[in-house]
Formats: sequence, C-alpha cells, structure tokens
Amino acid sequence: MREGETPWRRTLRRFGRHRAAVIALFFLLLLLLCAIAPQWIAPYDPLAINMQMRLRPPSAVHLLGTDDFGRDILSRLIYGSRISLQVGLISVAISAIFGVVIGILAGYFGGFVDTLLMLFMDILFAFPAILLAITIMAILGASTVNVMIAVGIVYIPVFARIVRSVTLELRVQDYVDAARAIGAKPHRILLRYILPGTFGTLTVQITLSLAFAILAEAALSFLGLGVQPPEPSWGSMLSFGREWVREAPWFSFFPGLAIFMTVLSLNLVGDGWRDALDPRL
Amino acid sequence: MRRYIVLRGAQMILVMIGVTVLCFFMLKITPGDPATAILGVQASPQEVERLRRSLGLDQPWFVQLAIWAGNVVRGDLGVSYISKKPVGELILTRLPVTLELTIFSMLLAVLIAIPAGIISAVKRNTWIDYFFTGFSLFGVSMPSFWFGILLILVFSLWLGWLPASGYVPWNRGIWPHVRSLILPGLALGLFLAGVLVRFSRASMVETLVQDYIRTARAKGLSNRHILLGHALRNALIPTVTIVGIQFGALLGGAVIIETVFAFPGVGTMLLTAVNQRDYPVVMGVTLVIALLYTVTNLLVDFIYMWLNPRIRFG
Repeated sequence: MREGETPWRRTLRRFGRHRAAVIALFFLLLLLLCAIAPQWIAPYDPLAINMQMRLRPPSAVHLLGTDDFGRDILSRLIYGSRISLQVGLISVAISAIFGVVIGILAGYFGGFVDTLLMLFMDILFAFPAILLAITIMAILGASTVNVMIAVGIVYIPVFARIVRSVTLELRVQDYVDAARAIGAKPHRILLRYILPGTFGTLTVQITLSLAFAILAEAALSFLGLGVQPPEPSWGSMLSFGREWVREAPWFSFFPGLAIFMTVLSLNLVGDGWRDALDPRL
Repeated sequence: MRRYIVLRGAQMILVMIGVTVLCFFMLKITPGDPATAILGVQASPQEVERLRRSLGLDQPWFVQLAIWAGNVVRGDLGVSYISKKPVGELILTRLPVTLELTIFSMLLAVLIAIPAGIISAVKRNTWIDYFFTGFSLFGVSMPSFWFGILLILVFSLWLGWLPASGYVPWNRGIWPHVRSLILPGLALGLFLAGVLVRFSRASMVETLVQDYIRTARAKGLSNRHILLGHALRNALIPTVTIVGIQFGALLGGAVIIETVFAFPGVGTMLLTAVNQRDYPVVMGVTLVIALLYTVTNLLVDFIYMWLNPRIRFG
C-alpha cells in the first residue's frame, strides 16, 4: 500500500491495472448511456415498421440491417439495452436485499434461526435457476415486471449464503465484541458494524449476478416467457431472428452479440474488482 | 465420517420434503380450478364437484398437502389438463432424452476443459494459458441459445456437416444418433467447459506448489510421472464437486437447448405445458428435476468424500 493512500483509492488503482476490466467498464458505461437516453443515440424509432425495407443486410442506411418488419436492428438494440439493464438491476436488487437480510440474520443469530433460514435457502437452491424462473413465470404470467420478480427470487440463496459466511467471520471480531460489551443492541451491531463489512464481497457478487440476471432475462424472453413484443428485448429479438437464420443471419447475430458482450463485460469487471479487493494479490 | 453421511442424508431428506411442499404451494396458487381444467368447460357442475371430491380438492389445504405428498412418493404426479394422461408417465417417456443430452454435454465439457485447465496450469503465463483462460471467459459469458443458433448456422446450414435439429433415437443407427447429439451437446456444455477450465487450472496451480510435488521432483521423477501420477489425481478431487453442482445448471440449460434443437425431452414438454397452462405437467417436471438434482448433489458429496482420503480417514 502506498503511503497516505486510502483503501478505496488503492482498490481503484489496483482495478485500473486490469486493462480488460477497464475497457469492459467503459463498454458498460456506454450501455448505461444507451439505456438512459436511447432517443438521443438511436438513429430510428425502434417500433417504426417499414415493410419495403424488411430483412435488409447491414448497410450505411441501417448499420446492423433490418428485421422482418423492416425495423432498424441497431435502434432496437439500443432501446433493448434499457430493458436488459432495468431487469438486471431490479432483479439483482431484489435478490441482494432479501439475500442480505436473510444471510445477516442467519449468520449473526445462528442456532435455530440459522438452521431454518438456511434450510429454506437450500430448498430454493435445489431448483436449477432457470427452471425455477420458468416455473415462477408460468404461475405469474409473461411480463417484464414478472421477469424481475422471478429472476430476483431465484438468486436470493446465492446472496444469503455469501452474506451469511461473511457475517460468521465478522461477528467474532474484536470490534464487534467491543460494541456488544458497551451494550449496543443487535440491530445497531448488525447495521453499524456487520453490514458495512459485507459490502466488498457484495459488490463483486452484484456485478457477477447482474451478468446472470441479464442472461436469465434474455433466456426467458427468448423462450417467449419474458418481455412481450413489440417491446424490443435482446432475448425476444434473438428468438424472432432465429426463424430467419438462413435468409437474414444478422437478425439473430447482433442481439446475441449484444447479450454476449454485456455478460462478458460484467464478468470482466466482476473479476477485476474481486482481484482489486483481495489483499492477498 | 459415518456421522457426516447420516447428517448430510438427513439434510437432503429435509430439502426433498421442502421441495415437494414448495411445489404443492406453487401448484395451489396457479390460476383456475383443476377439476374444471381436467373435465373441460362443457362438464356439468355435478361432474366437476364429483371430481373435486375425488381429487380431495374439497379438503383443507394440509389434507391436500398430505394427499399430494403421498401421491408423489408413489410416483403419482397428477393428470395432465391437456392430454389427460398421468404426468409421471409423460415425464418418464421424455426424461431419458434430457438425461442423455445432459450427460453427453457434461462428458464433452469434461473432455475438453480438464486437459485445457491442466495445460494452462503447467504452462502458466504463456500464450496457451492466455488462450484457454480466454476460452473459459468466452464459455461463461456466451448465451447457450445464441451459441446453439451459431452452431446450426455454421455446421448445418453453411457446411452441411451435422443436422440442424431433431433427435435420432438409438434404434435408427448409432452414428446418426450421436450426430444428432453433437451440436446441442456442445451448445449446452460450453458454459460448464468454461467453468471447468478455470477451476481445474486453479486447482492444478495450487497442487503444483505442494510439498509432496517438490519431494517427487527432488526424487528425480520425470515431469510426466509427477503430473499424471501425483498432481492430476489430487487436483481433480475438487473438480468433481463443481461438475456435480453444475449438473443442475445443465439440466436447467437443457430446457432452453431442447427448444433450440427441437429435442423431444422434458424441456420442450415443460415449455409446451407453460404455454398451454398445463400446470400439473409444469410442476411435475419442476419437481422431478429438483429431486434429481438434489440426489445428484448428495451422490457427488459422497464421491468427493470417497476420493479424498483426508475426509475418508478423518
């Protein structure tokens, strides 16, 4: 550690050494910009149908070509980034909030509370993630909000397990003992002393879970269970493009590439951030 | 060790009971009345009432739960709303295809990824290591359904080497059968391959710095002997756990890949059932896969213990 350097600055400096992770972060920031203001960036209206221009290959007029309704694929991808990021962020927020509460309570109180909560998490974990999401979608019905709920529920156990293990380590630390000795109430210990200690691990998990959530949304939309047409979603674009894979391969290629690049970037940033936080490296 | 087996077994039984109970409640909150769904809208109210009673739907929820759990133990998962056939029977006809695809893709992943991970570890920080590390990242970031479509585009539509979709059963010839499995197997196995390269590399790197490897080297054993005779076995032990844990992800992924390749497994059956609101089939498939996954995890745990002498004799 350099002299006078705060831990936060040191982590940032170490993150900056991962060139691939930094490039990935820039890609994600660009994507965020697309999601916030697609109307400034997209060259066309994503819903505008033009049957005379259907299934045109990439050209100067339509950089990534057009789909079977003559809609501009690039514009639909730019608007689609909004759905992907929105679903990703909200579902990860659902998993993280419930996971943190469950994990921290189980880890801190132990005993019966721990056994019961973790048994429930094990039960949820017994279902393959995408299968559970499909089943929840079958019950709730296909819609964007339901995708967020389904994907959010599925990843709660991951957060609960991680936060529980960090809490188990933190609750026996001297500073927590000291807080207990001066009579701090459990809720104060949890919020003031234990919760902040889980943040490092949590940020890594949030980044990696975002990758999973975006993949899960794309998969559900691909299967016709997620975001419904004509709303542009990368997964459903890929699914419709599949029908034309022989005649117009670009129709399914670019939505797939968008999902891949986003997930890859999140994985790179997540890995880079984890390495930057790890004091042993 | 016996104590651990008993505890782990008991925990698994609890999880299996929990999974069954959760599936019951998920089925309970599905919209619509099962008796009307089975008989159709033209059935008289008396007929519907009679069926409701015979299915136990007029009983309180805990009695219904007990009936459902009892039926599940006997392999009775209810009746499909659409085909009117027993769900258990429907699943049994489709499950072998899904299991075969899952195991095939697992074998492909293991055969590709473990040698890649080991080579990566041995040739650390060389171009071959960077190549395999890049492959690993590619594998975990690639959406399986897109990879499946790309494989179809290249190997079926452009090169014409392999069939684009459909499943060919064994009895129509071994080679056509295997050919029909290759592309879906690769599409499904890529993610696991990505995970395994990373994991087997890390595990091998850790093993290669252990004291017993240094001793073997000091004894003058050849590199080949050290790698194959000493390091490989120990490095592979933790990998078994990862393969087991990922088995569930593969089963889930199979649902999507079966749709891409029009495979007649439980995945396509599940999606058809979801679209037709055939809830007993949806819940039956979910339950069977979750139970299968739970049992696999238990077996993997036991295999891990058996392979690892530190636990076996601990």
